[in-house]
Amino acid sequence: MTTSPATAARSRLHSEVDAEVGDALIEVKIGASSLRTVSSALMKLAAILGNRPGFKGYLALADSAITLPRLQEEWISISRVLRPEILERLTVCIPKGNQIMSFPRELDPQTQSIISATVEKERRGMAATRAPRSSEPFYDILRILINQWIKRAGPLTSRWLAEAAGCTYPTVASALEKLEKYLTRHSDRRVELKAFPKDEWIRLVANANKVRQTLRFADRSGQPRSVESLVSRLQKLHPDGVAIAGVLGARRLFPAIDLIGTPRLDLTFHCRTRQPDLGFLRQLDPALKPARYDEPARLVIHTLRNPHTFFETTPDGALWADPVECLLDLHEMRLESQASEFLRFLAPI
Amino acid sequence: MKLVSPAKVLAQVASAIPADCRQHVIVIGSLAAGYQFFGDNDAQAVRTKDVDCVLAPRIAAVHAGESTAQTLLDAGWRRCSAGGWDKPGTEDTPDDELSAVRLYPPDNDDWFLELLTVPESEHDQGKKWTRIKLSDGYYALPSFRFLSLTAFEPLDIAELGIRCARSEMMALANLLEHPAIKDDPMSSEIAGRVIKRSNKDLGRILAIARLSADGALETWPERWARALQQEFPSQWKTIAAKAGSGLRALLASANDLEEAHHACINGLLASAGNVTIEQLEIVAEQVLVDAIEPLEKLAQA
Repeated sequence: MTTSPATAARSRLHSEVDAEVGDALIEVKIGASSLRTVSSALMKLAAILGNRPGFKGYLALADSAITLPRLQEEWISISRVLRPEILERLTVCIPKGNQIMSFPRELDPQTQSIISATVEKERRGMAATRAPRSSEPFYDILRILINQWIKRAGPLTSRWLAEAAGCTYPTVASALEKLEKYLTRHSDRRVELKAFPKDEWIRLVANANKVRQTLRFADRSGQPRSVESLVSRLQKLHPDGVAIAGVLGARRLFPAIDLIGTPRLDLTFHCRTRQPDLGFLRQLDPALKPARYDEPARLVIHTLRNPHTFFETTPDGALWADPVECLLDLHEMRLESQASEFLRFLAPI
Repeated sequence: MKLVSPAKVLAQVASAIPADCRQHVIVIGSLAAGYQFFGDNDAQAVRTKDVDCVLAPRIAAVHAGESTAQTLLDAGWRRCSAGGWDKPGTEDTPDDELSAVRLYPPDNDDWFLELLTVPESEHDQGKKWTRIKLSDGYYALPSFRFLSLTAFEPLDIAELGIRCARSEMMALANLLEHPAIKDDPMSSEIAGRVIKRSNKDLGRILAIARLSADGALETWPERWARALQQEFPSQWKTIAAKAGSGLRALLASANDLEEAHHACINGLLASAGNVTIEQLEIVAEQVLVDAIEPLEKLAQA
C-alpha cells in the first residue's frame, strides 16, 4: 500500500497531537511561558484541522505563566490569519483547579471532562519521565560529598554515591579518582572527604549555571511582597520538594551572616521530572513572572535532580535546602564576602 | 469630578449630621476607602463627586434619614438639581419615582452627599426605595441588594462619631453587584470618558486591593464569609460561589480592563503613582488567589 504525500503529512500532523477523542483533537502544553509556544501550537492545530473537516481542535494550557489577557491578545492576532471555518473549530482551554476556562467559546461538560483527563494524563506522563541525567555528574557527586562532609556524617560506599547521584558506578569511580587528593579511603572501600576540595569548589562555582537549572522570576506588580511574606505564603502552600535556600537558608545555619535584609527568595526544587511543575507559583504570588535577562529576580528556583537530597525539615514544617545549595546561591547573587564567611563557618580550617 | 481630601470632607459631613443620627451613618465609596488608606495625609486625595452615606440598621434608617436630611437643609445644604434630584414627591408618588436625597454642602458644588439604606431582607433584589418625609414633601432612600455588606463591622472614626465601611466589604459588595460586565454606562464621564459602571465598580475592588497592606487580602475571605452568613443566611453559599465571575470577566476582556484602569487612575489611585494596566491585572489575580478562591472553597465546604 502506498501513502500519498498528503496522507503522510496528515498522519504526521495528527500523530503529534496529544489526544484524539471522538471529533476532538487535543494538544496539551504544560507550563508554557512564552506566547511563541502558544502561537505555534495553535498554528499546528489549525493546520491539522484544515486537513480534518468536522474535527475540533483544543489547545489546553496547563500551569502556564501567561496571563489570560495576553493569551486573548495572541488569539486575536492569530485569528486575523486563520480562515473562519478553522477558527470556529479551535478553542483555547485553561485548566484551573477543577475547572477549565476557555475561549472563544465555552466547553460543554463532556468536553471539559475529556480535556481534564488528557491534561492529567500528560502530567502523569511527564512525572513518570526520568529526569535527564546531569551533564555534569562529577559536580553532583562533589556536592553530595561536600554535604556529607559538612554534616560530618561519615564515609560512603560507591554504590550509595551512585544511587544518590543517579549515575553509574564507573562515573562515581571516575569522579572519586579526580578528587583523590581530598579523599580518605577506608579499608572497607568507603570514602569521605578529608578536607574541603577548594579547587574543585571554585570550578563548581564557575560552572554553576551549567550544573543547576535556574528559573528566575521578577515581580511585575510595582509593589513587591516582602521576601518574608513570600516565605510565609510558601509555608502555607507547602509544595512538594520545594526547599528554602539562598540567603534565608544560609542565615538559618549561620545567623551571624553579614547581610541586612533579604534581596530575593531562592528555592531549591527537588524535581525528578523533565519539567518542574510550577503550578504553585500562581498561589505563591501571581505577580511573579519569568524574568527578562536584564530584570532583577525576586524569586529564583534551582532544580535539583539527584535522587537523594540533603534537605532538612524544621519543627515548624519548613523545608530547607542543603548548605551547598545555599552557598551556591550566595555566589550566584555575587555576595562573595558573605559566601566566604558562610564557607568558613561550614568548613572551619 | 474634583480631587478632595477624605479627612476634610468626612469631618465636614460628620459635623453637619445631627449628633443622635451619627451612630447610624456609615460612609461608603471612594471617600471611605480613601480615608482608610490615606486619611491622615493631606497630600493624597481622591477624585469623587459624591459622598454616599448608608443609614443602618434598617429599623433606624427612616428616622435618621429624615432627621439628617432636614438638619442639613436647614443648615444651608442645597439640593442637587442635576438629573431632577431636587423635586419632592407627594403622598401619592410611587416610592420608585421619588427623588433620592442628594445635597451639596453650603459652600461648594464639588461633591454632594447622598443618603442610602440597607435592604429590608436578604430576599430584596435590585434597587428598592424607602420613603421618607421632609418639610417640603417626600423623598426616598435607595437600597441595593448587597449594600448590607458595607454595613458589616464598620470602622469607627472615633474623632468624628461616624463610621466608615471596611474597604474589603465595599469590595465584596461591588464584586457581587457585578457578576458580569454590564453595558450600563456611568451617568457622568470619568476624566473625559464614558465608562461602564461595572468596570468602574470592579476597578474599585482592584484599587482597594492595590492600596491594602501586604497580607491584608488573605484576611478578606474569613470576614466575607461571616458577613455573607449574617446578611444572607439562606443564600450565602450560592452567592459566594459566584463572587468571582465579574472579576474573571473583567480579566478576560482587554477593553474592559483598560476601562477599569482608567477609572482607577482617575479615582482612588489618582495619588498612588503610575499604576499600569499590567500591574492592575496582577492585582486582580492576587484578589482571585487570596480572597475569591478561598471564599469559593469556604462556600463549597
